[in-house]
Amino acid sequence: MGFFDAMKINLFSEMKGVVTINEKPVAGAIIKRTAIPNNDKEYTDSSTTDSEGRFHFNRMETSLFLKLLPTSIVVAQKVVINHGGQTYLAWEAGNTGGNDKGELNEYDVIGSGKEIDIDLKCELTNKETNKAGAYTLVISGICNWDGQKVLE
Amino acid sequence: MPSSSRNLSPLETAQAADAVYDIRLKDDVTKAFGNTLIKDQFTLGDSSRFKGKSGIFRSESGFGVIGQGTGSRQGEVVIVTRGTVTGADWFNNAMAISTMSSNNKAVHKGFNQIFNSFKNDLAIQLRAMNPSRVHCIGHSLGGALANLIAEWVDAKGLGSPHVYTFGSPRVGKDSFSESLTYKLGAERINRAYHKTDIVPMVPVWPFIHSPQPGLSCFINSPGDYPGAKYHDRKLYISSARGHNDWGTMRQRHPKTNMEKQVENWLDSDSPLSLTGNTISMINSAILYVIKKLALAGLQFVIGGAVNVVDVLANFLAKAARVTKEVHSLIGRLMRRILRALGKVVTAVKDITYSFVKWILESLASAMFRTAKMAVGFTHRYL
Repeated sequence: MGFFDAMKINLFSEMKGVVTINEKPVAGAIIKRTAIPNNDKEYTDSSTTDSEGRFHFNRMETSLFLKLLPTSIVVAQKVVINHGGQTYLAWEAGNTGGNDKGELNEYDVIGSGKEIDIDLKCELTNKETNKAGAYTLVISGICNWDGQKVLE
Repeated sequence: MPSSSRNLSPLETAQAADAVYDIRLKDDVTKAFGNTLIKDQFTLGDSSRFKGKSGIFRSESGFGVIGQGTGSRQGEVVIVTRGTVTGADWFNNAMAISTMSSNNKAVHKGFNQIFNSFKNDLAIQLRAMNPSRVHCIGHSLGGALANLIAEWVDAKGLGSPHVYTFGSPRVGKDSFSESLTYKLGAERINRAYHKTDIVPMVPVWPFIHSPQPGLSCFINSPGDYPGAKYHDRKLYISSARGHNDWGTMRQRHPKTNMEKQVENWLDSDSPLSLTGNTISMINSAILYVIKKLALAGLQFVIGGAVNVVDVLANFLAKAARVTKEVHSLIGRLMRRILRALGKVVTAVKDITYSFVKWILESLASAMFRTAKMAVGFTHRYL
């Protein structure tokens, strides 16, 4: 572990969910994830909902060569849903720390078997709300998950 | 509940130091601090519900948010600083150059330049707020900036500063640290650092930490090798939990068992041969010496593909010239390694680059000959 090594950065943890409109599943909706770590570059992937409105993404990661080590790893995340000519903000978080499962879990929970996985319910008629993530993370968007805490 | 020193709590400040990193692609301060304790005490971001406004001050390398207190914190101000997330060259300037601070004390030039680049912007906002107290919070480079802001706020009579830093590098020489500690009082300088966070070990001597004199807040962390992992701003939040106030966090850096073993080994005169145990002890001793030198401000930094023995020999020879104590420590290490190589010497007097290099090269080839030896040192630490 040298000061000038490449660092493995978690851009997005594994996530899955279901998209509905008025409680009915939406097939063929395009979900796009964008992550922007310290180098200000955009990393994206996308997926489409199946006939039951479900989607799944594997973990997205990259190696960054940071000659500025040690610095704080900051990954800004954004997930949008495109359907019927409209774009919906599913999930937006500006301050993840680059750790796997770090969006919803504090570090002492990760690896204990008690981690919360990202499992989203995205009802397109929902308003955008701010939810609490791990530490001071604020997650905005229309998607909700079980046990979430909505911030005022 | 405010403590008698009127300090903000470890958790409140650790959270603020983390949340400020959320303001980057968008300037949504209210949202960034929406999941913190401090949002209930200070107005951070425009809000129609409160009279106070808060602002952002930024430069190419530095960034900060300023907010006004409400309720029991009425009249107080909080300033949270960080560096830009794309980074700056300050860390590469480990062998730092000094310059004069706003109060004419010797400080790290890089940090001071960043502070100067947003100082005027900050002054305009602060003068309009006319605060009683100014709480200066920061992680990493943000912590260094918090120190400089506090010195300046005090010198200009803009309020009574409190400083809270997490994983901050060293900021100034003894004149800076002693002056800041004298003016603010050690109980208003709250410096938290993890044992294996590398950043508080730079820049090199003669830069030292504040409070001086006074207790910093040493936080134990796993392992023996300093690195980047325990510099993580979110781990400082974990560490702050369970401490209601800074009083319970103040403690010295304790000695570990391994350190005692190494110290005994360095002081002993017992015969040695190149067993696995001896190799392991030599590795630990080299690391111990490097850590000890780092604590004294002499940071060993290595990068890229270089000849480790060469660089290490150069470093140790230079370090040996600094003080009698350092000379003695390195001399004892050299003596023990020579002993392990079958050469008995009473004392090592001249610690030159070529002498150290010869010893380390002899050690390296001896270890290489004994194929079983796992040289953990060069791969793990470097």
